[in-house]
Amino acid sequence: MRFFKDCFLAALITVGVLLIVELGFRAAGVKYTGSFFNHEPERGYSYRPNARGWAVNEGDNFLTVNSDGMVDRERSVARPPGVLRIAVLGSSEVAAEQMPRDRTFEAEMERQLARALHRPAGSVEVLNFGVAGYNLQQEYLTLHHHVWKYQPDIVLLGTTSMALIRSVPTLFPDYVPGTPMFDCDHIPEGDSPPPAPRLSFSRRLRNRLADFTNQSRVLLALNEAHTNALQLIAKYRAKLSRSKPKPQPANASLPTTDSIYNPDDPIYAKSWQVEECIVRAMKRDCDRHHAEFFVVVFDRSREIDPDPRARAVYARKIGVSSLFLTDERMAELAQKDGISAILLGPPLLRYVEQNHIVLHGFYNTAYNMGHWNFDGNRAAGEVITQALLDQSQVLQANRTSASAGRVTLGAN
Amino acid sequence: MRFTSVDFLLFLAIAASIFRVIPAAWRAAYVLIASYAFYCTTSPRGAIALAAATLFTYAGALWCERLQGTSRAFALTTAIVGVLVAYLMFFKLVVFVPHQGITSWIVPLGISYYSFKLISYVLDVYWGKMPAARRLIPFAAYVAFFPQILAGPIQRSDDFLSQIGNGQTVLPAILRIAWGLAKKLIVADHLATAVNYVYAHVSGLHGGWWIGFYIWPLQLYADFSALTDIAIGTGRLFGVVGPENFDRPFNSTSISEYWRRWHMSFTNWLADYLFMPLRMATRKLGNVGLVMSITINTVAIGLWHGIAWGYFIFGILHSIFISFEALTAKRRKRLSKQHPEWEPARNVLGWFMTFHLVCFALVFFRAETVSDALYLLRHVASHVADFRGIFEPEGLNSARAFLIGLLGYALLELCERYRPDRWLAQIRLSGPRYLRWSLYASTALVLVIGFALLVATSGEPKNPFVYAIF
Repeated sequence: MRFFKDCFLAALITVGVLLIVELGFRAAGVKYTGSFFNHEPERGYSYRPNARGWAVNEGDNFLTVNSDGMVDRERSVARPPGVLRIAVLGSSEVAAEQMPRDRTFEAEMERQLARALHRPAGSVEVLNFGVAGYNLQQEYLTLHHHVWKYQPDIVLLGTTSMALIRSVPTLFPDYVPGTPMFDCDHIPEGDSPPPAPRLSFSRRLRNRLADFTNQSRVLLALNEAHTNALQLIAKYRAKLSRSKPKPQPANASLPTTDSIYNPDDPIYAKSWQVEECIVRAMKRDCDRHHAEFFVVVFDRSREIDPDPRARAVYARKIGVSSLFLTDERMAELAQKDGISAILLGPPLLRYVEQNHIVLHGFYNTAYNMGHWNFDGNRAAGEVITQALLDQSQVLQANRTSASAGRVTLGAN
Repeated sequence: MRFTSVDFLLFLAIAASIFRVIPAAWRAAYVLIASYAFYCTTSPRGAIALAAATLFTYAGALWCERLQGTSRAFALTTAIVGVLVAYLMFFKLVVFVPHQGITSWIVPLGISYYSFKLISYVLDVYWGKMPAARRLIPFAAYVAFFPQILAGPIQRSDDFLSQIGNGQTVLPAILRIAWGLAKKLIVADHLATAVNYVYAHVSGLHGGWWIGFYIWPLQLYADFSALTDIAIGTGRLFGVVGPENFDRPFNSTSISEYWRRWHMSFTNWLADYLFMPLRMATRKLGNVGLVMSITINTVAIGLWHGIAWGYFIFGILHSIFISFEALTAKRRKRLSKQHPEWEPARNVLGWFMTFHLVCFALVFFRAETVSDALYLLRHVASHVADFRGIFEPEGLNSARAFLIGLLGYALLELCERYRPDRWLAQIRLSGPRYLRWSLYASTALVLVIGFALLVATSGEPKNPFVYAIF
C-alpha cells in the first residue's frame, strides 16, 4: 500500500512539474507548428476537420480548420438567401495558413466586394478551399466532389507555376503517397463523390493524438524534435555514405524551382498538357453547375522583388526575358478555352514599385521569401476584386447601382 | 562544433559512454584522441599547431628540469616562454597584417587558453613547483582537453594530471551541463538580441542606450559562465573536476573583489605568473611599483582579448579603479574602524559603485569603436523610456525575448544565491521515498524536454558564445 501511495504522490508531483514547464513554454512564447492534415483515400490528404494549432514557419498564426476541413470560419452548407458565394481553390497561397482569417485575401475580397456592390457585410462569402501542397488533380477533385454542395456563384482557381511541377509524377517524385496524379485520359467525370470511408481505429486514435498534441507546447516541441532528429539522422547517414560513389539517380535532370520560369523547357510538355485539360475539365464542371469560372495566376516572390536589379539579375541567371513568361502562358492557355484569367504578377509588381513594399515573407523568413504577408494578402485581395468587378458577369448583374465604386489599391 | 549544438551533445554522449567502459589505464590516451577529434572538426590545421606547441613545451620542460639549479635553466625557460608568447602574439596580430598570403591564416582554436596552460607548466617546472611530465600522452591530453580548450577554465597541470583516469560523476555533470545550456539559451541569447541591436546602431537610436550599459554585462556574465558550466560539466564526465571561474561577480562591493570573482582561473593565473613576479621586481619602487604592476596586469587582461583600443581602454580603466582602491585602502580601513555603523551603507554604496564602474569599462570592451562607446556613455541617461524602437524589427517577439532574458537573469541570480541544487541533493540523500522518486522523474522529464527543445531549435541560427572567439 505504501508503495502505491508513493508512486501516486511521485506521479502527481511529476505531472505538476510538467504543467509548470508547459506554463513556462506558454509564457515564453515557445511554439511550433502543429499537425493539421488527415489521410484521405480520394485526394491523398486534406485538412483534418476542427484541427487547431499554431503555424509558425512563416510568421505565427493560430490556425483553425472548420468542421468541413476548410481553413475558414464555419460556413453553412446551404447558401443563405441573398448571399453571393465565391469558392477559391488552390494550394498554400489560397489556404494562407500564415494569416489570421480576417486578414487573408479572401477576407479582403469579402469586404471589398460588399463595399463595391453596396451590399451589407456578410452578404458576400469567399470560401477558402485551398489546401497546402495540392496539385491540379487534387484541386479538380475538390471542386468536383466537395465544392458544389456550397452552391457557389463563382469559382476561382488560384494557381502558380509550382502546380505544374506537382501534377506530374516524373517531375515531383517526393509527392505524398496517395496523391492522385491522373493524366488527361483519366479525369474522373462522375458527379457523385466516392463514399467517405470510415476511418480505422488507429487513424482515429492518431487524429485524436494530433489534436491533443496541437494543444500542448511541450508535446509540440517533442514532435518538432522528433522531425528534426529524423533529418539529423538522414544528414549523418548521407555524411557516412559520402565516401561511397553513388550511382547517378535516374531523375538527375529534374527541374529546380528556377526552371519553372522557362515555359519552353521541354521537361514541362506533359505538365502543360495536364494543366490545360484539367482547367478545361474544371470549366466544364462549372458550366454544368452554372458557376462562373476564373483562373487566377498567382505571382511568385522573385517576380515582384521590389529591387529591379535583383529581378534583372535573377532573370539573367535563369535565361528568360521576363519573369512573367510562365504566368502569361498559363493565362493564355486558359483564355484559349474561353476561360477568364486574372494575372496577379504585373499589377502587384506595380504596387510594389509604387509603394516600396515587400509583399512576401515574414519576420522569421528570409527577405521577400515565402507566402504573401499581410500587405501581400491585402493587395492580392484588392487586385482580384477589381478584376472580378471588371470581368464577372455575375457580379455585374449583382450590382445594385450603376455607380458601384471602384477598388483602389492601397486605399485603406 | 558548438557547445550548444546537437552535434556536440551527440559527440559528448558517445565519447563519455566509451570513456566509462574502457580501462582506467587507457583513459588518458582516449581523452587525447577525443580532444583532437573534437579539435579537428573545427580546425584541422590548428590541430597541427597545437600538437607542435605541445611537443615543444613537453621537451623544453624536460630539458629545463635537467638544467635546474644552473644559470642555463633561466635562459632556457625564458626562451621557451618567449617562443610561446611569440606564438600567441603572432596569431593575435596576424589578423592586422594586410597581406594577401597571410589573410588565409586562421587563428587556432583556443590558442589563448592552451598557450597559458603551456606557459604556466614551464614556469612551474622551472620554479620547482612540480616535476616535468614524463609521460607525453597525459600531458598532451591536459593541453588539448576539449571541454576546456574553447574558453577555459584554465586548469593547472598538476591538478589535471592528478585526476586524469578517475571515474565519472555522471548525474552532477549532466546537471551542470544542463544548467549551462539553460543559462546560455534562456538568459544570454534572449538578452543578446537587444544588446546586439543597441551596439550595432549606437548613433542611430532614439533611446534605450541603457540596455547597452546595464544589460550587456548581464548578458556577458550569463553567456561566459554558461560556457564555463558546460566546460566543467563536460570535464566531469571525463573524471576531471575543473576550477570554478565565477562566484556571483556582480555582488562584489569593490573592484578588486570583482576580479577575485570574475574569470577566476584567468585572473589567478595572471596573479601567479604576471602580477606577483612583477610586484616582486618593483617592490622597491613603492606605490609607483604597485601601480605599474597593476597597470601591466590589467592592460594584459584587456589586450589578451585582442589588439584593439577598446580592450586597451578597458584595461587602463580597471588599472585606475584598482590602483585607486589599493592606494586608499589604509585610509578607508581606518575610516571603517572609526565608524563601524557606516558599514551597511558602505557595502551598498560599494556594490553600487562597483557595478557601475564595471558596466562603464565593459562598454569599451563591447563597442565596435571607441567613439561608439563614448557616444553610448554620453547618452546612457537620456531617453531612458524610449527604447521600443530596439524591438521594432521583430515586434512583440523580441520584446518578449528581452523580458524572458531579464526574468531568466533574475532567476539565475536567485539560484546562485540560494543554491536549490543543494536542497535537491539533500532530498536525494535523505528525503522521503516519494520525494526522491519525484526528483528523479522530474529531473529526467526536464532533461528530456530540454534536449528536445535543443533538437527542435537545431535548425535556427544561434548566437555563438562571446568568449569562444578569444
